[in-house]
Formats: sequence, structure tokens, C-alpha cells
Amino acid sequence: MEETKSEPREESVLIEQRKKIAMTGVSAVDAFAPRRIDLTLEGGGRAQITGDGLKIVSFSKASGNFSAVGKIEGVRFFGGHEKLAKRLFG
Amino acid sequence: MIRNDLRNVAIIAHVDHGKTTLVDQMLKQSGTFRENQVVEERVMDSNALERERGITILAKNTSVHYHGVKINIIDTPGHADFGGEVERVLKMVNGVLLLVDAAEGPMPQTRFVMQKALELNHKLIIVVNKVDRPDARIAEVEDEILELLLDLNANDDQLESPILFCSGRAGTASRYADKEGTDLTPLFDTILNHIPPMEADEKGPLQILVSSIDYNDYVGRIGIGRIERGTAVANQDVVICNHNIIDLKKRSKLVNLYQIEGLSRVPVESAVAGDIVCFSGMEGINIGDTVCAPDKVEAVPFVKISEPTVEMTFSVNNSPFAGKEGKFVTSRHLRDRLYRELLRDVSLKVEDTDSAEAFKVSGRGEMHLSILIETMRREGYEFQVSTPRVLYKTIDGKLYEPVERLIVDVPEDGTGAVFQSMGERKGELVHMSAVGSRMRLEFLIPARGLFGYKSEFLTSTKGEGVMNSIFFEYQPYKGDIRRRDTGSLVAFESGEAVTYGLFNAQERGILFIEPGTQVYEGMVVGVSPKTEDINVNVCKKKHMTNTRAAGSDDAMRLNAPKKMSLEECLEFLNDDELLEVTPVSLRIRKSILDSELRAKARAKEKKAQ
Repeated sequence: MEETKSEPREESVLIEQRKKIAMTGVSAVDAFAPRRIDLTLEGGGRAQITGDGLKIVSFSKASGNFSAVGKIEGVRFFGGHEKLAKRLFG
Repeated sequence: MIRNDLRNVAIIAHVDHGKTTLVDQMLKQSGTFRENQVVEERVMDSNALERERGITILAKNTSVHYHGVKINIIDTPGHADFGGEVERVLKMVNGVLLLVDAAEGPMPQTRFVMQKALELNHKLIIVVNKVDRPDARIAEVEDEILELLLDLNANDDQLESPILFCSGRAGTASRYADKEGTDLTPLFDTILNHIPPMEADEKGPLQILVSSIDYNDYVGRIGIGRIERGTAVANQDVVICNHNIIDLKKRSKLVNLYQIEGLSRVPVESAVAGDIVCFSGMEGINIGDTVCAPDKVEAVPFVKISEPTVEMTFSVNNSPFAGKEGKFVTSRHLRDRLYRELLRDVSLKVEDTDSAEAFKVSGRGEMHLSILIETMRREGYEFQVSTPRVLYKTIDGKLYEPVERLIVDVPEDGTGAVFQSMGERKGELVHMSAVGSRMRLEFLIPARGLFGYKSEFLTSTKGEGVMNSIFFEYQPYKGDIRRRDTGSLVAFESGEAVTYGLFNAQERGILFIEPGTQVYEGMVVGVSPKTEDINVNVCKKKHMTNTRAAGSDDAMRLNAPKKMSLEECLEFLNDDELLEVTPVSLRIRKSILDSELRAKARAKEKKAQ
């Protein structure tokens, strides 16, 4: 079964009560530890979620959907859509 | 013509989930055997190696008769490491019996086979077996099965599959979890009603698709397959062709024709479309071939046999202890045995090398080859094997390597360690989700990255993790992967290991041997935490003449030696090491036994880099 490389999809970030984060447009989970999760985004660039007791709940490269739980302290973006990152998180 | 008198069913079950017992009961209750007849050779029985490994290796077939309908039951190999074998067997049938243990629930190994069955759109009957177990958790297992079907994108019809609750030992089946059955009638009726009969054209020109191969010394190679069209007659002239080998058109004769009756192959004069038959007399018949009538040579499309991805060198044992423990030790013995294995295992490749004492053996993964090694060992063979190497390919001038799809089921707190290891081994996460209280992670990882990972995985998940891999595809080379960052403790004197020598050596690392073990120079006796090898003298005795202060001769405590299984030995091997395999023991050794020659060779190598 071939993994199809789909067109980069829309990126979105939803954080609920700073306890749950759901993202779309994620192409890879590069690193994972209770205090930090590094992601690569389909649209280019990377995202870094920081917090405490972080746990990945689900991820699918095929759909690009990612979700994690824990104490979410911040999300930073590197490269890719510069302006979006600046507006959202300074 | 619709073959209402026939049903072809595959049975999917993890080893020990009760396949043998249930099929025996089906044979008895369908009248194939008298009530008191002892069924000597239970065809679905797993051999010792399968039971130890928890996988089904040999595909076996049987058949029962019920209300005038013949039900062929085809076994499916439980392990996906033999690539393509599952799809081939599933192509012979129209429906699938999924057998799941009422306490253990569906195992990851059954997942691969289930995936293939669903992809082929087969009708499904779910059998929750061993419901009489005290620790049965029927409702939960039912949910886990439905979760597995959802996970595998089953269609609505497959999700609505009938589910039966059976006890193979008691020979009972019931449609309701809380109502005990009296016999297997519900199972037989469900097979007849839910599995569709095959539509077959028995008047057309003959076409048999070879899905499996067997071998025996009297009639040679035996092809097994379903008649896709026409009628087969014993001693009929045929032509062998193959969808993937265009110019293969070989005239031959269908000398012996058999059908499966109960546990045995019964010679028949003819068989018609839909029947599963065995036939011999065709030299070099292979899986994927089509046997046709001479006037209409038309190959059936087929799942190409996946190529080997891992290779090892099998060579004659030339260590100092050679010939002491094995019955078959010569190059002729080794070569004959390896080439005979090709007759039965089409996923294997054997090539001669420029040395008459060494042969290159390629297979579908480390486990595939380790099962061959273990089988030969139990037959009395003695030989040496090198460390496993992946088979690269060059496509458009670029280097490609085999990539496997790895699925791991781990407790929630085990995901971090798995991520860590995968990062070092160039594994890429493609899917992650919760399955009950555990997490399931799916990676695409180079086959090289899996060498030596099994023991690391079991250690990091405290033995609770389950891992399974299947060949995915060839992908561009992913760069260097750390093979092993430990060194070997190498004996530099031949003789018997003594406590005094071992006591000194254990300070340098973990030992594999105990006092009294015979060792030779160049034999690996332990693992050292440093990357460099360390020469140790485990035969060094304590000289009686020395005078010592009182108390310094207290008992020397030796740490327990690490006993290594065949897989652990193969995982441990470095590029300059070999594994000496005998029916009695496994010894790791350096390729160059003499320590000085070895040091020179390493110096030369460093200079060359």
C-alpha cells in the first residue's frame, strides 16, 4: 500500500482549556518528550509545543491530524508561514 | 454454474487460539471420523517451532462435508514475514473464519492477515473461541474485534459479519454469548449461509492458479491451487505460463491429481472449476504459475512474489570445535539442504559464492532466516552464519534500501522510549492512536534499523510491548544507522573457563558463559560497554604458590551469565563476527580468530578509512 503524498493541507491549531491541542496540516512528529513535542508541517516550517506531562493522543500522516493532551504552555512556529506565527504567538 | 456443493474458507487465527482443536471437532462432527477414532496427524497442528514463536509457518489444508456441501478449510500463515503467502492463500477462498481467543483477544499478527482478507472483499465469520475459559472477557473481545475491523476500514457488510461463540474443546457453538451451544451446527450453518458459493465455468478451457507449493521425496514438487475455469483430468497435457513471466510457456503433463478429503490427499480422476486440487509431475512448477489447457494459454493475474530484503552468508563451520556436535557438517550437506529448501519456500534465494564452503541466502527478513537456521539446527546441521545484511537496489543511479512498516502496541508510558529508539534508527511515525489502554504506533523504518531492535524494544517496554513488521517498499537510502555501540569480550586462550578467570573478566562487561565452558581463541564470551573489543583470559587459573593475606581468598561471586537466544545472537553480531550454530550450542566468534592477525586487520582498516 503506497503512502500517498497529498497536497499540503490547511494548517489549524485548536487549544482547549490549555489541556488539549489539536492540529491539522502536520506531516511528521520529529521528537516527543513529556515537556516538548516537535512537529514538521506540511506547509513547510516546524512547530514546537511546550508544556508539562504532554502525551500524544493521535497522529496520522495520511490525514495530517495530530492531537495531544497535557498542560499546554506554548506553541512556537519556525519557518514556513512567518506572518501567521507572529500574529498568533508573537 | 454456481458451485452450491462447495465452500472454500480460510481460517485466520493466532497460534494457540484453538484452530487445531476446533477443526478436529468439525472433522468429527461432520462424520469425517468415527467418534472414537484418534486423529493421529492433526493437519492444523503447529510444530514445536511455531508454538515457541507464536506464529503459524506452514499453511495446511483440510476439508469436511456437511449437508452434502464440501467445505475446504485453508489455513493461513500467521506471520507476515513470508510476504505474499497470505494473499496467495486468500485468493483460493471466498470467505474467512476469524478465530479469536476469548481471553487474549485479537493479536497484532492476525491484523495483517485480516487486512488482506478485507482488501479482497471476503465475507467474514467471527468466531470468539474458548468461551469456556475462566478468564474469558467475551464482551470486551467483541469490542476489540469491531475496533480492529473499523481500524482496517472494513465495509458495512463486513462490519455486520455474523459472530459466533464457540468452545473448540467442547465442540460447541452458539449465536449468543450467554447461551451455551450444544454442537457446531450453528457454525456449519453460518458457513453455508454466509459464505457465497463460487460461480464457476467448468466447460471452459482449463485454468489452475498455483497458490501454494509443497514437496515430498516421492512425487517431488506438489502444486496446490484452485481451478479457476474448466475441468482438470489426471494425465492431461497442459501448458504452464505465468502472468509476470511473459515468455514462460512450458508444455507439461498433469500426472497426478488429488483432492483434499479430511486430512489426506485423495487421488481423483478429475476435478472441476472451484475445486482446490493438488497436482504433481510438473518439474519446476512455482507459485504464481497458471496451468492451462494447451489450446487456450492464458495466465491468471497474480500477486508477485515479493523479493528478499535481507541476506546472510551460510558457511561450513571452521571453528576449532567444528564437527563435534553436528551430524551434517560438510559443504555438500549444507548446499543440498539449502537448495532443497528452495523447493518448498519460494520467498528464499540461495546463491553459490566464489568459495565452495559459503552460500549467500536471502529471505524476507531476519525472522524468516532465523526460522530456517533453527529448523536446520534441529535437523542436526552444523554451520556458521554471518550478520544479516539488507539487499540494496540502485534505481536511476540512486541507492535504495528496503523499508518496513513497523507496528508496535505498547503501554502508554512506553511511547517515549519507542520514539527515542525510532529517532536513532531513522524510523518515521505515520500513525498513532490509542487502542484500549495501550498506544499503537506505526512507523516506516529501514530494515537495517530493525536489526537488534527487538531485544531493546522488549527491555524498554518491560516485556509488555508487541511489535510486528512487514516489508513496505524500497525507498532512498536514509543514511548511517548506529549498529551497535558495545564491544565484545574475546577469549584469547583456548581451554576451559574457570571461576578465577571469569571473575576478572566480569569486571569488563557481561559474560555469556559460566565456569566449565570450553572456549577457544577468538570466541566471544561477553559484551563490553565500551565500543572497542577487549581480549580477556577466562582460562586463567589461580596459582597455588602465592601466599595471600587471610580472607583474600573469600568466595568469588560470579554474576549470572546472559543466555542468548538465536535471535539475540543474530542481533548481537558485528560485521567482523560469525555465529557458530550446532544442534547443541550457539557460539559467537570473531571471523579472524588469532588476536594478532585481528589487530593487524583492524589497523589496516583504520588506515584505509
